[in-house]
Amino acid sequence: MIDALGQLTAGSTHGSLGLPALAQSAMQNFWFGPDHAPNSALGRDTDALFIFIAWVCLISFALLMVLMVFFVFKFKRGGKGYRVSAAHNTPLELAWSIIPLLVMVVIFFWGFQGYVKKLASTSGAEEIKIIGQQWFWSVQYANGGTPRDFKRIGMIDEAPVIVVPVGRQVKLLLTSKDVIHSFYIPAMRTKIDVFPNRYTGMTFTAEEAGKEHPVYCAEYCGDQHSEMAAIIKTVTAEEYTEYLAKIVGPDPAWNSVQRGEFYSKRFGCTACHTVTGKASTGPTWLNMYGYEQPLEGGGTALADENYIRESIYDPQKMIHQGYGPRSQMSSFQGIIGLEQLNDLIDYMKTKSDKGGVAPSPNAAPKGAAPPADAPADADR
Amino acid sequence: MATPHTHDQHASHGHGHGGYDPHGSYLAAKGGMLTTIRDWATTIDHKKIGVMYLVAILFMFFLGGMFALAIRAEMAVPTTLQNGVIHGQLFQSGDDIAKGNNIYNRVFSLHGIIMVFLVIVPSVPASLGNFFLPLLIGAKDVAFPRLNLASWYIYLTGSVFAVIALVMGGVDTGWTFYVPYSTMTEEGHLKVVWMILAAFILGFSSIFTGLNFVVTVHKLRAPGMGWFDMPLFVWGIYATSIIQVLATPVIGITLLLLIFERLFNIGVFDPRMGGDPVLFQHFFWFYSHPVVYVMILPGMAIISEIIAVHSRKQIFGYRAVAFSSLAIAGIAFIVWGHHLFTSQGEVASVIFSALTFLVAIPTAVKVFNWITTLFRGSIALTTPMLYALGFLFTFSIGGLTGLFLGALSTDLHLHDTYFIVAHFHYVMMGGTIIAFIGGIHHWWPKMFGKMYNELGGKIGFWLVFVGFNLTFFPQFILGTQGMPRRYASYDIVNNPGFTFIHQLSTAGSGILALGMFVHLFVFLHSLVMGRKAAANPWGGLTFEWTHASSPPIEHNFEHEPVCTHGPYDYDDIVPANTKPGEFVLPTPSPAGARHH
Repeated sequence: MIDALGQLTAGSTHGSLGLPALAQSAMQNFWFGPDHAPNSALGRDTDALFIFIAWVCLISFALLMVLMVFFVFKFKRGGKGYRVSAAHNTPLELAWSIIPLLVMVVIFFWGFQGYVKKLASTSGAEEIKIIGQQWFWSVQYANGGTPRDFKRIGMIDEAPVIVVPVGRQVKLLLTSKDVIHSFYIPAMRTKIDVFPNRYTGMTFTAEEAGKEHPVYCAEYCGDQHSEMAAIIKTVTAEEYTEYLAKIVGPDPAWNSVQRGEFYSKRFGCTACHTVTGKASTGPTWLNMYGYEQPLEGGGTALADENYIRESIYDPQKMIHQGYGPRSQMSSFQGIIGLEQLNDLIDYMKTKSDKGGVAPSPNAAPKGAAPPADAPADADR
Repeated sequence: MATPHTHDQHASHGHGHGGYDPHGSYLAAKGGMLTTIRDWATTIDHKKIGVMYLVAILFMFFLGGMFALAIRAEMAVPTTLQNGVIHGQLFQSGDDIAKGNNIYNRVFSLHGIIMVFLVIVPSVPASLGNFFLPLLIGAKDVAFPRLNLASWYIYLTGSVFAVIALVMGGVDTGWTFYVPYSTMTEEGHLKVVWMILAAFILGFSSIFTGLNFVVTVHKLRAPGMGWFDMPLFVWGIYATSIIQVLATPVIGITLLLLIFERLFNIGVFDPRMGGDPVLFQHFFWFYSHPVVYVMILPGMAIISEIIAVHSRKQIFGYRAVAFSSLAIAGIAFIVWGHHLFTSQGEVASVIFSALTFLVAIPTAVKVFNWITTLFRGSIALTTPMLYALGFLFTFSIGGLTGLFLGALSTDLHLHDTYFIVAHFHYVMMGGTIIAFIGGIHHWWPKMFGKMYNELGGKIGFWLVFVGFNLTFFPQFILGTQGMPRRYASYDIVNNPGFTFIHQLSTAGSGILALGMFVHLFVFLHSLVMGRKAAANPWGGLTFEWTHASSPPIEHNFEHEPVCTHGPYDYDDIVPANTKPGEFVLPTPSPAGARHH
C-alpha cells in the first residue's frame, strides 16, 4: 500500500505530463525548490509522504475555506439566507470524525516505516564516528583516519568534509563533548540529537556520487550554533577505498608545522582561535607565543610551551584577560596526544615573531608507514 | 441606574462615600486619584483584576513583539564575511561574529520567554477569563476573590523578576532552558537564575487562577444553569483551568531542580555529574505540551462565542464542541513525547506519534462545527467576526501542518527547522493571539462601555491578517529546504534562495506590527471619544449581554440572573421563518429588565 501511495504521489518523470503529474511537480517545486532534491531513496520516500500530506492539507483546507467564504456571502446579515437549521447531526458528525481518523492511520504508518528505516542499520554498514563540540564536528573513520579537507561555507571557516560512499549504508555513531547538538543532513532528510552522556545513531544511503551536501547543527548550542557545519561529500565505492587509505593520520610527507596546522583544524582549535590577530571566542594565536599574556584576575604569564600545554589540557587554570570568568574552552586532555601537542606548538611558533624556531625535520615518528599516533586513537 | 429596584444586601454599604454608587459602573472613580489607585491596587473585583491583567499582558506583548521585529530585522540580510570584514550583521559587536550572534541569541530567547510565560499562557484566561467567566455564568465574582488578587500580584512579581534578568543583560538559554546549555552558559551569573525564578513564580499565578476558575464553574453557576447550558467560553476556560492545575506543578519542580543544578550542582540533569539531559526534556514537555492547550483552548473558546453571536446561530454540535475541549485537555497529557522524536528512544517515539494523531480529531471536529454553524446563519462581518473567520484560516493551517510533524519520517527532517517555527506561530499567534484580539473587540463595549471604531478595527484586522501570513508562511518553505531554527545567520552558499524568503517574512512582520499599532490607536480612540455602547450591541443571549449593563456595575447584576434558555437558543427566541428585518431579539436592556 505504501509503495502504491508512494508511486501515486512521487511525481513520476516518465509517462505523459498529464495534469496530475504537473500538479505533483509543482507541489514538489514549491516546497523543496530546485536546489534541495534528496540524495537517498529514504529521502525521496520522506518527500513523497510530505507531498501526500501536503495534498491532504491542501484539499481539506480548500474545502473548509470555500465553504466558509460561501456561507459568509450567502448568509450575510440582511440577506434571505437565515433559516432555522439543525443544531446537530449525528451521522454527519461521526463521518467527519472517522474519515480524518482513517487518513491519519495511513500517515502514521507511512511515517513509522520511514522512521524505522532511517534509524535501523544493516550489517554491512560503513560506520563513521562523530563527536560534536562547541562549535565543530570531529570525524573518525573505521580505520582511524580523519578528514583532511576543510571547506569554507560562507562565513564558516573550517567545516570538515566528510567523504561517504554511495550505494552503501552509512551509519553515524554520534556523541557530544559538552552540550546537546543535533546532526542534520537536509539532503538525507534526517537528523539526530547528539548527547554528552550517550551515543546516538543515524543511517543513510547516498545514491548519487559527486555531490556535496551541507550538515547543520539543529539543536541550539550557543554563540556559534549557526556556524557549526560540515560537508557530506559523496563518492563512488572505489574512490572511497582510495580515500580511506590516504587519510590515516597526517600525510607522512608533512613536517611538524604542517601537521600542527592540520591538527588545529582537525581538533577545531580554529573555530575559536584565529591566526590573523582578530579576537574571537578565544584569543588569537598571532604573536601569542613568547609574549607575556595578561590574565583574568590580574597578573601575566609568559606564553611558553608549558603555558600552551596547560591551556589545552586545563583551560580553566589560567584564563586570558577578557575571556573569563570561566573559559568557554573544555579540556582536550585525552584528545590531543603529546606528539600532536608538539606539532601544534611548532605551528603556533610560526605565527609569532618570537617563535624563532625552524620547523623540525620532516619525519613521521615511526617511519614511512602511517604513523601509529594517528590522531583518532587519542579520541578513545 | 434610575430604575427602581429592591436593594440587595450589598447595596446599602456603599452609600454616602463621596458619590460612590454601588449601582454605577465598576469603572467609576470612588474619590480622588490616590483613592482610585488604592482602590485598584487592593480590589478584589474580578473585572478590575481582569482589566489590570489585560493592560499588563498587552504591554508585555508589545515588549515581546519588539524583540520579534529585531529577530526579523537580523534575518533580513545574511551575515557574510568578505575580506575579513563582517557584512549584514545587525547586532554586530566589534569584529567578532560570535559576539554579535550572542546578542541575537539573547533576543530570540527573550522573545520566547516573554511571549510564552508572560503573554500567551496568561493572555485569555487571566484577562478576558477573569472578566467574563463570572459574568457568563451569572456570578458576582470568582469563588476566591482574594486568591484572584494574589494571582495578579504573583504575576506582577514574576514579571519584575523577568525584567530584572532582562536588565542584567538577558539570557541566551532559549525559552526551553534545555540542559546542559542552560546550566553551563554564563556560569556564575545570577541572571539565568532570576529568569528561571520568574518562570517558576509565574507558574503559581497560573495555578491559582486555574484553581479559582474550576471552583467558580462548579459552585457559582446561576440557578437553572446546568453543565450543558454553559456558554462554550466557560467550557473552554474550564478545560484550560484543569490543565493549569494539573500540569503547572511539574514545571515548578523542574525549574526548581534546574536552579539547584545551577547553584548547587546537584547533578540531576547535568551529564558532567551523572545527570540526564533527556530527563529534563521529558519533565519540561510534560508541562509545556499541555500548556500548548492552555494557550489554544481559551482561543477556541472565544471563537465559539464570536461565531455564535455574530451569526446569530445555535453552535452546531454544542456538545461535541464542549466535549472536544475536555478530550483535548485529556490527550494533551499523553503526547509530550512528540517534541523528542530526535532525542528519546525509538519505541517511545512510535507510541507518541500514534497518540499525537489522536489530538487532531477533536481539533478538526471543532473547526468543522464552527464552519457548519455559519450555515443558514445571519452573519455580520464585524471586526470580531472577521477575526473569528481569520482564526479559522490561520488556525486550520497551524493544525494541518501539525500532520507533517506528527508523522515520524517527515519530522526527522523538519524537527528544529523553520517549519516548526512557522507551525507553532500559526497555532500560538494565528490561533491564540488572533482569537484574543477578536475577543477584545467582541467584549470591548462590555468592558469599557464604549464602542470602538468599526472601520479602524477592520483596517487593523486586514493588516494583521495579511502581515501575519506573509511573515510566517514563507518560513514553512525555509524549513522544508533545511533552515534550522535559532540560527543567527544562514548559509547562502548552499541555499541561495533563503535571503529572498527571509526578506518576505521580514516585510510581513512590518505589516503585522503596523496592524497592531492601528488596533492600539483604535482602542485608545474609543476610550477617549468612543460613543457609548448599548448593553447588548451584538444581540447576544448570554448573561453578560442580557443582564448586565455596559460597563457592568460593581456587583455585575442588579438581580441574580436565572438561566431560562441555552446560551445560543436563537432559534427558540427568534421564531422560525421570521424575516431578517423582523428580528426580535431579547431586549438589549440594562440589567434587571428581565423579570422572573
